[in-house]
Amino acid sequence: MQDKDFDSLLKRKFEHQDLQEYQEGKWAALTDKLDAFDHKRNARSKLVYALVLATLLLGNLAWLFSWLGNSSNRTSKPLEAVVKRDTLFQTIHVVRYDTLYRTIILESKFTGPDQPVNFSNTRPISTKSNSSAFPPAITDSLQISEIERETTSRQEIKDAGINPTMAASSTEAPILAAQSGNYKDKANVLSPLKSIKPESLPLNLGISNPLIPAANLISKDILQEQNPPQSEEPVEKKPSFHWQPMWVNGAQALFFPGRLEGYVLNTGLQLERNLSNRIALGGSLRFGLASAESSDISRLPSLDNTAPVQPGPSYTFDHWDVDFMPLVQYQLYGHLRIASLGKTRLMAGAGTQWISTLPYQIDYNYIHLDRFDEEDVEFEKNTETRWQGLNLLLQAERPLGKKVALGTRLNGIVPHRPLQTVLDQSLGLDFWLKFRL
Amino acid sequence: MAQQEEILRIIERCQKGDRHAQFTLYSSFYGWCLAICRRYSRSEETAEECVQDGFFKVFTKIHQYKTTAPFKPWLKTIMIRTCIDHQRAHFKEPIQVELEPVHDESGIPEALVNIEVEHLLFGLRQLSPIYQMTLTLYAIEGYEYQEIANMLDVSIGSVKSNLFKARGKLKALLTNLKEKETHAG
Repeated sequence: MQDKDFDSLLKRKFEHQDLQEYQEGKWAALTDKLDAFDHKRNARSKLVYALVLATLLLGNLAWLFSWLGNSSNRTSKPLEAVVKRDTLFQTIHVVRYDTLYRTIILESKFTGPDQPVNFSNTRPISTKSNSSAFPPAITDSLQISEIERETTSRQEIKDAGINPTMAASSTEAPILAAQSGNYKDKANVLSPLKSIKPESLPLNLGISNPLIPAANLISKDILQEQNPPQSEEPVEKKPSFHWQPMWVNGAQALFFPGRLEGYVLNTGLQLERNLSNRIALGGSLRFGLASAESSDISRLPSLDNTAPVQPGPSYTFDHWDVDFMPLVQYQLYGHLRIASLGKTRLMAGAGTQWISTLPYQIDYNYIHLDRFDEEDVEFEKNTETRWQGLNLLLQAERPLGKKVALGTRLNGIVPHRPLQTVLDQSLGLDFWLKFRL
Repeated sequence: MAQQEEILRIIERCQKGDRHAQFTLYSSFYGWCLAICRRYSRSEETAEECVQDGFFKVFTKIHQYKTTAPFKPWLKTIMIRTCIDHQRAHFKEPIQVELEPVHDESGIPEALVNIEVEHLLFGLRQLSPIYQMTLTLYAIEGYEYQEIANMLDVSIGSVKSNLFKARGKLKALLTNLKEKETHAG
């Protein structure tokens, strides 16, 4: 038997087999499985939404707290900086050097050759027993007043019975010279030395090696002061506190009962001002044209619900329509930056909106019950009406250059109180060009 | 054409989660799907399980169906893949019935020409799962070697080899079965 023949035999046999009917129980089992799946999928999507919302909330709270913390730090930082600079007081190093110098001189009288000098046992000695001329060695925690007390003049050294010529050796000369200047100058006078030669020490009385390497005498503080380190904290870019004008264009879909048609097109100017890098306030003034048509007579496009005059008893209401309802829209809003996607900034916010409807014309369409012909009744609305609602905003903005940005916004409006107007609920999309002055 | 439009309308409702539309689709195609799954399954119970699982996939992934394409091939592919997934674990099982394969080049014996579908099904299920799948995919569904290799995750060489062996063994099985029937009759 050829393979092809056998294959075609199989195919032919299976193509013409009888089909079985479904069983009710099987469908019920499948329905249960599908219900469970839908339930699980809904629960999962709810969890995802909850997680996203929680992340947004926590992120914004964290940012808020850090912002509040930074703003309180900003006021205390300048003072702290002054204090730090004062505490740094470079004369500490001068005093150390000076103390060493004087200690060496003094100890050379008490300790023998090749004996280590014990700084803890040093005692200021002078022929006149002038303790103020040779105060004890000072520590890092020396206070400013103490440092000042430690500075001695050439005259004081002389008074202490030391030969000023010897005292003013190559190592001490800068110190003495510095004493007439301020403390910062003193620090600058001290230049790092690789070592102190024994013969350069005053009254070389057999001390073979300098007790403290000269390199140790140069504190890091001095070097850091000469090249102050860069702050590790990121420098927050200052927001622009200027009002930024924007040319805004929008389209809104209107939602009302029996809606056959309903939209608003508007254009206008908007001003926005940053309060911080994340928060901004703004306001807009726009002129719009609304177009609406509905088969529901209960919600008229006006606020006063004026019932139209029916042409006669044989007529029944069919629909009303407004071709062009001029509007002036005023809006105040605030928004918070919630995320950044590259250069694009995503913002969420809320605001309030007032809409003034200018005089317009409504056409009420009636149909004769017998003849089925149409009769239009025109109604002029000559007074201005004002309406107010809550704005919910979700917007994205992307800079196009240094001075221009392009943005789009989802703009939902919910009325403050239920009103019989076509403007009660709307969802719109705005586009704008922002100019930075 | 009208039937396809009707199916599309039902599918659109299914995509919106309409249970009635899902039931219409299920009841319309249940028998057809079961016939497909029986060829790939080792038993009737497994075939019914595959149909249920296949329809579950259809209803949960129906939004992926493009209405420009015909529906039946899409449904058939889902059913076949569901059956393959069910059988994949058994692909390396040893052959249950050891018979000398028949590879004659003569015409179809009279005994096999009039063989019933149930006997063919019985014969197919006696083959190893991989032979059963390969032969059904190639001979009945008309898939190419490469497509079968991709579906079963084997090489083209294995497909050809399995197909050759499967044909030979099925012929032997069916001939043997017919002979037994004749002797019994």
